[in-house]
Amino acid sequence: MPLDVLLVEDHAIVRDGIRSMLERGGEFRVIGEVETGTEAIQVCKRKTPHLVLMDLSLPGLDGIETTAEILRHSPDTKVVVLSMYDDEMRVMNAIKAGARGFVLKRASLADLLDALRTIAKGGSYLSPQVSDKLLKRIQNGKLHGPQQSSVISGLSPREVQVLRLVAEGKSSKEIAIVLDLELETVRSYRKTMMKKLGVNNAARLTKVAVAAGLTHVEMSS
Amino acid sequence: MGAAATGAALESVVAAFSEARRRERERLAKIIHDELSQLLTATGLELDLLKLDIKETQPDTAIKLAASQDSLERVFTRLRELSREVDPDPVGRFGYTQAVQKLVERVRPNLSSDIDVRHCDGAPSQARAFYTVLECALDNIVRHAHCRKATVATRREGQLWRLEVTDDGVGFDTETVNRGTGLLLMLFNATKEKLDLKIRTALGRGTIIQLTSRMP
Repeated sequence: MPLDVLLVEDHAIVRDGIRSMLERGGEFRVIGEVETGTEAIQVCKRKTPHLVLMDLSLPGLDGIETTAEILRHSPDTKVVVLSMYDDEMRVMNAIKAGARGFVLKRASLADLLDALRTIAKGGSYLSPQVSDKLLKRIQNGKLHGPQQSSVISGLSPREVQVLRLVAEGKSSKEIAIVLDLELETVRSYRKTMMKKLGVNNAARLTKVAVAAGLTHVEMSS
Repeated sequence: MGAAATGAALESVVAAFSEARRRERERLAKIIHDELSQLLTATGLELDLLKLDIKETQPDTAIKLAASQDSLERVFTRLRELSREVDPDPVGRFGYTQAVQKLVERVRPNLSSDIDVRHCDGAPSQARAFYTVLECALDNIVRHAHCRKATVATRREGQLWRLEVTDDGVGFDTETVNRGTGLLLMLFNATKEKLDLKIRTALGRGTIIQLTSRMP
């Protein structure tokens, strides 16, 4: 019986190629293609795919946050991350979020099938370039994560998500849609966050987000 | 125009230049990621599928396709390197220490000299300004210093953080040299973040650039 795969990738030309590759041999069946993390979470709640192939750079909720959300609701689903970048931080964050594999976008995606097969059987997979880099870093004792800014260290991961989206100019309603939460829940997160940070409006929240590196300042022209 | 007004106007120009540079990097990073790399990935996938189609009937052609993919892979590798060079916020992405390590690794092949990097744990709270000053200092070393040895050291001294970039190169005369964008950006970032910037240099005597945070 083929394994059900959900494709989460916002570039159609890449999705088309991956779908063609996956469906060649009959091992895998693509049950859905979505372009955003929010859509991915909704599909996983309805369909519970065996595997999710997740691009890291997505509009709105990114691939890391989406991975964590999907696994919160569907712990049996296995997420395989696909990314153009091989830097250690992305790999570590993907693994910490629960991804079982990290495949590098390259001129050949022949190892994508190997990755999916391995992970479907319960294993994990890192593209050779990625694992080589990580090993070197570990050997040199240079595998550090960026320290989270002390300004926001008291916030929960969910509150950090909400803070970033507020700083990007999204309303509570828009944030509720992106994170697939109730509006009242988002409002409650905002209230708690403001109390923890000692601020009382969105402009000050944005300032905190910029200082913490969650987003950057746009200069007015 | 009085001196104060001239200074304010210059600061305004440097601020605008700094923001324009950040925006341009963001634009280029987006093109590299959203357009070029996705096109390359899709092309690579099409070649993979073509190889699978013909590998039994035309194995020699399949080998030639694999060679084309090797060429594409070299383009991909270079694109990744470029994307790191134009990253608008490496400190935000990697943290200060790793961002500095990656910057030095990138610069090292362009230097005929040795470059020694020393870090301590942690990072200054104005890490982005420290990074920008370092980036400008290293750019100047690559382009002008003709040095045998350079050193980058970030350390904590009590409540202060200090960045020191030294080289044993040709130095420059601060009175006569035209202030290029590098020096102006260093001054701008130091002033904006209320950091102390000292540049000690003389012709033939190398250069020491020192950036220090102030007591809170």
